[in-house]
Amino acid sequence: MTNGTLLIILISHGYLPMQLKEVKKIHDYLYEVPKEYKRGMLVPARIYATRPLLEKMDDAVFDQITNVAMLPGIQRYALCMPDGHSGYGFPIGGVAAINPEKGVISPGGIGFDINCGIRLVSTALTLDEIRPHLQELIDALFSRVPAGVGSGGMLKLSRNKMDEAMVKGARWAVENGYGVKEDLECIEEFGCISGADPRSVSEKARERGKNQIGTLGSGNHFLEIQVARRENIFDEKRARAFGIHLDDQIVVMIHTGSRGFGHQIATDYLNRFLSVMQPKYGLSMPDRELACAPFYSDDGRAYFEAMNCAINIAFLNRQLIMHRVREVFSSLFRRSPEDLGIRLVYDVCHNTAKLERHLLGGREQELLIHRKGATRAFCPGMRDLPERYRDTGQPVIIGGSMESGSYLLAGVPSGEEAFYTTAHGSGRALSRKQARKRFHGRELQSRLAERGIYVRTASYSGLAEEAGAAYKDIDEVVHATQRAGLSTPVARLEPLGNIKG
Amino acid sequence: MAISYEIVDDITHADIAFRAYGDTLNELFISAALALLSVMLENPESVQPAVRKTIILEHAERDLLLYHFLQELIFYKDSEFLLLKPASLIIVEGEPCQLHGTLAGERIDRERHAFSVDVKAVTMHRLSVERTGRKWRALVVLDV
Repeated sequence: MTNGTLLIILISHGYLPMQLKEVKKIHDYLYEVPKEYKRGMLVPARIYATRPLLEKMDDAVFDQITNVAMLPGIQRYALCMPDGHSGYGFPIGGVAAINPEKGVISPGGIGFDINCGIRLVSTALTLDEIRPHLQELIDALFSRVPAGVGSGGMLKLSRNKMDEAMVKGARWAVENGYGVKEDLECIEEFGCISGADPRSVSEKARERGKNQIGTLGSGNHFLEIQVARRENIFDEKRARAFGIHLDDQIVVMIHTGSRGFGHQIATDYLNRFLSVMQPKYGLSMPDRELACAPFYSDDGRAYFEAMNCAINIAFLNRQLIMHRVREVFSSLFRRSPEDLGIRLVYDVCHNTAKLERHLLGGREQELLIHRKGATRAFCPGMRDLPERYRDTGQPVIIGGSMESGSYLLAGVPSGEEAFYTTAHGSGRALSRKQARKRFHGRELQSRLAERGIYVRTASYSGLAEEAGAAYKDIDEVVHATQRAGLSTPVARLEPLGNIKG
Repeated sequence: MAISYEIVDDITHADIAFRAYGDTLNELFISAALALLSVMLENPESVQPAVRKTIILEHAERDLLLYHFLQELIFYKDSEFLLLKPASLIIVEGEPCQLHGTLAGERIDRERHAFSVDVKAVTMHRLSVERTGRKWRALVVLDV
């Protein structure tokens, strides 16, 4: 056998992805592409992953993360999380900390679905109590939570009220009767990020957003009823602190974002940055999706202000959906939401750029942290955490498929090296087309029902695309985040019922 | 007319990419619009021409003209719940390229329109519009 033949066999069996020879191992869960790899890289790129996860990452991940390393003002490393896969500009799972004084903001580092995120809600119900009602509950949620294309929103807001909501986020919802004050404590940024200015939001974004307030969307968005089985609690102390204290306790998970509103803002500013970055700022990047502008320029500030509006609208959406969940549970069980113990555990963002204070070179500095398909994971003692989580660290939610389930984790001190960031999901293993060839929506629904998982969907072909086997192994991703010191697992949450758009 | 398109699998796992083809730039843009609709709907032929919208766009670059054209279709889907196809389209090449046309379609009816997936945005990832021989082809990746 010639060397060439051996190489082909090795590559086709996934042993030697095209660019792996450029990658240097730092330890078993961390790999580095040196900055000499590509002209223009200002820092090395680092990928947190096990060797098998690294080998399964497509070439575009390496191209994209090494392009990210060229962003002006980037500090330390361009980072990729263990669930990294190909995105636009940044890989999904990409993280970049930028010095805001000297550096840029890039919409590609946030994504189209600004503040796509996940919220976890605990209840005082157990599996035995919910089983007899599961189907009815899921049917009721499917009927009462707007999902899928063209669903129409939960609320119609006047222009003024929409502006208020852009500035106040989940706080607007609570002030208007869609939740309780305590909810706000358990949301990143306390449900309302500062620096939102509706004047930086286009008419088109308002037009796209107005009909989608409080909607789930479709694709990989979901609302899921889950159980935290006793044997899946890995950290009892933290689980209790997070509100999971009963055997086989029922929780609810909500995954959605800023919908058309955020998508349009991302598109608007990508276009705007593309037209100004070279002529006005002399900037150029190898990928149009990495269009950027200096953070402290008019263009940079305008995008940041509009992006913050979208972050707040996404918080509002998840708050409204949680409120609807409370109503549905309360109506079915004929008990108040308080009596049912329906409480917010935490709400995390996956797609944002935030100003945060981090230690760099021994000095605390303000940095602009882009996280795209990555989750903030603050450790115990950090000041932006609610009082009740100061000892435990921030709850982190890593969402899995409707077959695999999801994880609840916590931030840890060693996460400092990644600017307190961890993974957000498991990443896809099959394309949507491949998944639709292999799985059929209705069959999948029946098979899941046989396993005791009841699913309602607005689209059966969409459901097929979300089959468990279409996703990578979430256990492996979570294991990698744990061993890499990014976050620590607290509980595994098994799906019981799911609604999809 | 040579309207055609195909979903391509080797570009993205998380989202959807398609190649569109045409003998003319007009046909190419029509193919791309139909491809977008077929990504969203299992039964794109179910969309009736009940509503008409005029569209006028221009851009220095052909690929970005296509990008903005498809973005308009996505915009109408969300802002007015409209599913639209080109009824007539004229593209005049120049500095800039100009597009004039009429879109025809109808309001989303979840009883009749079987949705596969929602399209959030057109991306610029590997976006291309090029002539190969006497045919035109485009590659578009959609964020879903």
